[in-house]
Amino acid sequence: MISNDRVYTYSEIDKLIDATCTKLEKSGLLPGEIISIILKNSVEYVLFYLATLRIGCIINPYPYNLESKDAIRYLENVNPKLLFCHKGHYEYMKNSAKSQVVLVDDDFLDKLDGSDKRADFKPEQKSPACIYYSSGTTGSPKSVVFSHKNMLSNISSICRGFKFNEEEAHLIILPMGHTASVNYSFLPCTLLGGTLLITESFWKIRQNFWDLIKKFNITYVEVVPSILVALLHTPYDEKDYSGIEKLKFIGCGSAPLPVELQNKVHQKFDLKVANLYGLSETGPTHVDYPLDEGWKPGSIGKPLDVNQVDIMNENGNMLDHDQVGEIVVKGENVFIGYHGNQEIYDKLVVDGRFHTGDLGYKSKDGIFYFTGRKKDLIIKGGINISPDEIDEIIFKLDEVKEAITVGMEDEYLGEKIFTYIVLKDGKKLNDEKVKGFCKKFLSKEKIPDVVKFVESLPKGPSGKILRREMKN
Amino acid sequence: MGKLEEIIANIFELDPSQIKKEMTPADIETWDSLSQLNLISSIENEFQIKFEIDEIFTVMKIGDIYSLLSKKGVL
Repeated sequence: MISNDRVYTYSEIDKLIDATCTKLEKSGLLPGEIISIILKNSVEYVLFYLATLRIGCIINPYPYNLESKDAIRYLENVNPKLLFCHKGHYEYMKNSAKSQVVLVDDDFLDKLDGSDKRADFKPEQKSPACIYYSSGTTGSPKSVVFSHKNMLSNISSICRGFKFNEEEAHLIILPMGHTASVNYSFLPCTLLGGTLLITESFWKIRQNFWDLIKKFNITYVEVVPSILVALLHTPYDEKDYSGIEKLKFIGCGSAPLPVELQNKVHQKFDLKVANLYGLSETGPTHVDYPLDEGWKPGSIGKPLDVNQVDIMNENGNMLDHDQVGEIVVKGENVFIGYHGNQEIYDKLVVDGRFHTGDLGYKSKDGIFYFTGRKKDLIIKGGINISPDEIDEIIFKLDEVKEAITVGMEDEYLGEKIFTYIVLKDGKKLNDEKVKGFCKKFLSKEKIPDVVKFVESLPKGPSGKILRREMKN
Repeated sequence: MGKLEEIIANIFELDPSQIKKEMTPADIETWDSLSQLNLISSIENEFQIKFEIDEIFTVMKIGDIYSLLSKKGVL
């Protein structure tokens, strides 16, 4: 593992995990208790993640770029025994979180005491291992629980599907508090004995991106579509990206990947892009392995070997090939529950099949295509945003009679947030005031990019505002 | 303090006296993809100009923002 210019062997990491276990146990933790972390991409993240599992506790990570006021809503739902965070979140959490909050400061590694080698905790396969945050479609916190069996089946299936081996060297540039880089890089590389190069974010290394790929013989890196756009438009010299043959392909997920973007990257860098599909509740469900003969750009590939994936209509009947319906997923990797919310779980998991809320179809040769979402969701730069959450805030403004928020296509971010407002008679408001008001309640990525004032909004027979009409 | 410095300081949550032209995203914790877009958007609104997508990605350090505005004839 390489982080901050320092190289760690597996043996060193193993010892540091044991030392972190000792630190955790001194806090009086018992197996089955929850530990939350809001840490930058770092060695500390890896240590807390693996030490938590080693002592039989449940790890609950959050992306470091999630604003504290958003993270606190999830923490209230999860109610961890301990919360470890880097300094960017510490003050807020110390004053607001109900749990005990511990600062992980810059010299954390230096202060770790040595520890005797210990055996890994042997969990029941069905017992919870991780709880991941999901922004969901309603704006209310959803915390997704995965068992040890879920995680192992998913990770080992990904390794088989993408033909990962012990020669892997993965570059991590996405926030590790999201599942993407954990499921495709951190855990697969750890399982196989590969190398991880951990960086804080793409934006911090954008200028040297190709240098790092070459210097560390990187074989795989996971991105979101807006990073591909940035790679295409950043004025790199052609020699910057020559000699990157070790990089087998790039994986791109977290937001729909336009096939034109996939093709442009291939043409410019001679690099294929896998279109990664999965959900917070399942982890990855498909393999789009671009080095296979017959690879179909634009598809999401075939199901992982632990998944049974079907297309269903609204009556719950299976659809034949080439018919668009809801993607439903069954398999060992499907989550075991939403923390503290059995009701939603029972609604979405029927007969062991998770109803994704995504639409798609399967071709005759078993390749799947994602076509859209049943549910209203904005994906801005790979971040899921519920439009309802924004509308709820807008409605607090006295001047607003009606409002609707939608995602509109954007070349770089995938989608931008547009809010349409109908004002009450005689009332005045401007976009600056709306955005300023939103800033008080919403994190920065959720602030509408564009606010438009209109005379009326399209409605259905029942009087419900037709959000999708506004997108058109 | 000029309007540009005010925008940069506001977007990156910096004291204007801390801003230096050689600073990159690695030097400024709050400089990420979203804040760069917010910066561009604020500059466009303030100076009534429009950047092409290729221009947005030429900004690698603070000094590049000045160069870009200079090219646009604003500074």
